[in-house]
Amino acid sequence: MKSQMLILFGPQGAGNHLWSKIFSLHKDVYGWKSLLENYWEPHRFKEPFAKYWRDPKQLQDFNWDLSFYYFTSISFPLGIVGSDVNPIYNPNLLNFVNEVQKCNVNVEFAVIGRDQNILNYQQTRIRTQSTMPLFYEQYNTLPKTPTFLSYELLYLYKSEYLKSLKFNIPIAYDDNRVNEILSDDPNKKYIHNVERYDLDEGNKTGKIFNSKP
Amino acid sequence: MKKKILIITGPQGSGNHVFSRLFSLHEKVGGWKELQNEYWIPSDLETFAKYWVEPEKLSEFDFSSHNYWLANVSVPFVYDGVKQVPKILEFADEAKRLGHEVIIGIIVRDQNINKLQQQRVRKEVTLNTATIYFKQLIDSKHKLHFIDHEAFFLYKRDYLKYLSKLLKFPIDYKNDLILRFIKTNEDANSKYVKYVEEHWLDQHVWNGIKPKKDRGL
Repeated sequence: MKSQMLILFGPQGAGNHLWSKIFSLHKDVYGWKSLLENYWEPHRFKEPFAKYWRDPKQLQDFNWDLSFYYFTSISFPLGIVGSDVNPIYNPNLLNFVNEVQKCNVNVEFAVIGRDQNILNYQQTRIRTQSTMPLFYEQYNTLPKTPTFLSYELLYLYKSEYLKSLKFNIPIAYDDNRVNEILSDDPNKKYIHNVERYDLDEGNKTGKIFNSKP
Repeated sequence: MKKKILIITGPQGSGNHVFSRLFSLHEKVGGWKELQNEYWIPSDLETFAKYWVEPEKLSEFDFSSHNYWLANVSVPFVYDGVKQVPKILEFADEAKRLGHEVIIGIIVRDQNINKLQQQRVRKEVTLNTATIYFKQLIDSKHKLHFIDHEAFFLYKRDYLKYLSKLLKFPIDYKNDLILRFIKTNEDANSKYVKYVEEHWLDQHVWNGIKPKKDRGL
C-alpha cells in the first residue's frame, strides 16, 4: 500500500504556518512537529521537507519508513524581493511532486486562500511587494484539482470545519490544541469599520439595485 | 431523474446575493434568475422565499422546468418585514420527502467584516444566531459543504470549478458573466481592509529568514 502525502501550498502570508500546525497535530502524521512548540519558525530551516523543496532529487534518499502519512507545506515564492540576504526563490512544485511520486508515495494537494486585500497588504509590508504573480506561476502547473482551504472559514468554524475536510492523511480536529492555535484572529488588525455604504439602503428600504452603486 | 436542490445559506451580509447570482447562472439551474439582471433584490423576493416560512407548502412549487435548483436564504432573514430564522432544516426534509436530492452550502465570510457589516446595516450582530442555527444543519443527515467568500474573490473561476465538482452541481464557471458585477481589483471586502504599518511578528520573520550564520546558529 502506498504511503500518503498531503502537499499544502499558498501565497506568502496566506497562513502556511497556521495550517502546518493544524495538519501536524495528528500523532500519525510526519509533519512540522517542532512548529507546535514555537509560535513561528523559519520555513526554510525548520520545515521537515525544506531541503527537498530546494533539491527534490534528494527525496530518493529520504527514509519513507518514518510514517505512513506525510505532510509538507510551502509558500510560493520564498524569500524577499530585492533582498541579498534572503533573495526571492520560487520552488518548483512539479519537480517536487514528480520526485515524491517516484518514491511510490500518493500525493494530494491543498491550496490555501485568505482575503486578497489582506494578502496584498501583508506581502507589501513584509516582502516589499505583492508576490502573487510568482505564486500563480507555480499554481498553474498543478497536475490535478486541489482542495481549496480557507483561512476565514478555519477561524469561524474551527473544529467543525476541520471535521468536514477529507484528505489522504488524518486530521486531529478534536485535539484541544486546535482552539489554542486559533485563539487570536490575525485578520482582525486589518479590518476597520465602514460608516456608510450606498447598498445599505437596499436592506433598509427594500429598494432594488440594477447595478453596483 | 431526481431533481437536485442546492440550498445556499449564510449569515446576513456573507455574500448570499453574490453566490446566488453565480450558482443560478447555469442554464440547467432554476431559481433566482432575476439576479442576473439586478445587482440587489430583497431576500423575500427570492424564488423559494415563502417556503422558508412555510416549508410544508413546498409541494405546491413546480420543479418541472429544471433538473437543478438553487435556493438561497440568509440566517436570519426578513420576510414581509418580519425578521426570523428560516426553516431550512424543515425545507430540506420536505424537499427530500418529495423525492428530491438536497445539498446544503454554508457561506463564510471573514467574521470581523461580517460583524461590522451587520452592525452597520442591521443595527445588530446576528452572526451568532446564524452559527448556532447552522450547527443543527451540520449535525443533520443532509449533505453539507462550506463555501468561502474570500476564496471566490481570490481564485475566481478555479474556485467555482472546484465547488461544482465538490457539490456535484452545474456551475457556469467559464461564463464571463461571473465577473460582471465584480471589478477585477476591487471586491466587497476591500473597503473594510486597511494597511498595517507594523506587526510584532514581522521582525521575527525578517530575522528568521537570514542565513543561520547571521543568526549565530
